[in-house]
Amino acid sequence: MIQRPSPNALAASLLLLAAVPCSGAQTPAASAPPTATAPTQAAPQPAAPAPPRTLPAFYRNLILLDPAHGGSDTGAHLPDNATEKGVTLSFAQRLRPIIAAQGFTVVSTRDTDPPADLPADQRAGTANHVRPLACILLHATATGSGVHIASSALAPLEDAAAAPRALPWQTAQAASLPMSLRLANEIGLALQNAHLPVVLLGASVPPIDNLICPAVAIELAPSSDTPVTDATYQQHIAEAIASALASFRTHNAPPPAATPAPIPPPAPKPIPPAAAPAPSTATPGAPK
Amino acid sequence: MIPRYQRILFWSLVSGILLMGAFLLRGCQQAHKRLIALNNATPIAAPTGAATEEVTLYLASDADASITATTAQVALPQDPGLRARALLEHLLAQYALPGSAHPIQSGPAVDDVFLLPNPADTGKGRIAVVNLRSSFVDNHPSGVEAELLTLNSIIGTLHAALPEVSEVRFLVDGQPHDTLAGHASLARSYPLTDTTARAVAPSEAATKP
Repeated sequence: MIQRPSPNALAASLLLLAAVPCSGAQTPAASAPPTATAPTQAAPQPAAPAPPRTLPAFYRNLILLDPAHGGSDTGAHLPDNATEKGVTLSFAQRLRPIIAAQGFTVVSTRDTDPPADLPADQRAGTANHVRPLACILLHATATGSGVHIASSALAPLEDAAAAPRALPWQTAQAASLPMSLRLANEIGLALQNAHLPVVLLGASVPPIDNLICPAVAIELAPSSDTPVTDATYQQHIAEAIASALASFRTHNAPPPAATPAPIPPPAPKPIPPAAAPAPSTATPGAPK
Repeated sequence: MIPRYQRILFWSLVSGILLMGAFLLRGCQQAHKRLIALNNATPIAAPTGAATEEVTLYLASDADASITATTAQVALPQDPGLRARALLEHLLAQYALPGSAHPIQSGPAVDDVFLLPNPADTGKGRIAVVNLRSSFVDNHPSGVEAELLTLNSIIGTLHAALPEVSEVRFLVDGQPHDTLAGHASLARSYPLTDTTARAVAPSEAATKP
């Protein structure tokens, strides 16, 4: 007689699978170590040491914003006596609630103008620590036109699956580059649909090469006669970015419930009656 | 007897002329100092024979973020390092011309270009180290696209002129520098490749896993 796994055991197996790190999108709640265990028939064993708490590859509802520059680093000097550090901060504050309205939690590397400079390594450290779905580096310029979207200029890893667990700091982004390119295209398409000129670039803009999350640098440039400080212009760009992030989440990190159910493992071979008692009687809930 | 009002008018005019002369002299002195500060460079060795040759310049355009290869006739020295430096000076001087598609302030930009053997692997060719002037970096337009285009323009031009060189690194006044003007990294080395580029439009197909 072939035994089918009980519903409880199957549910516990699914929970274990969902908690495996680097297996794709996970919610913060799913990152907690599983507490349920499959019922077993074996005699109680000495308690094995608990496995280390596994962290998810990223949190699918978390976005990191990095308004560039700050402190004594003013960035580019823009028309109307504006500075890049001020424009990026105001744009981040405009973008934050619009992204949050899409169901994201937003973390920012700075919410004010800090008294001291924020080094690029510190920004990257913050981003890598929180494991967001996407890292958005915000810039502004007076040259060019439209919105410039830059992903890292590093060469992607030939075999991302075989990437070492310890990534070199200077090229950490290489492992995430395919997802970064998809993110850049998502945002570019959304901006195009909003009738905004878009240019896709590959550039090493610190700290993009040090990030392990899918990352793009978005640079606001004037559009025809509209300066980057224009509130309506910024609002259009922010709405397009927010819709692109939602689309990116849908395409690349679907919710755990929407993931296809794993193929159930093959049924175990029945144990001969002489070696062990019939398992059907010991498995509660087994179909009869 | 000259009337008093005429004397006053005369001396007022003389005073005005003297003041304007002093103002003009001071303006000339300041402009002279500024030019000397920009041109405080050791002269490039004169090309032997002064014969021109055809070189390929990779010119950038801010309007569409493109890099286009064009040919030009330039007189260059024979020494490879001086040759690369003169070529880059000629390239960056194009951006200071009126109506440039990628405007950059005029003035000397490159202090030296060193061609070194690659310490990692001798089979990979040589490394070019471009030592930029701080006056060039300080006056460069700030922005991701603008800085990237300048770097790609330099990289493409060096790639066409020095095929034996495999990568390039940048210094500013002989020291490592984080970025060109706040955005494009100068802390890493760049492979010398053909940087001819056209603006890339986003595509629906590239958004799917």
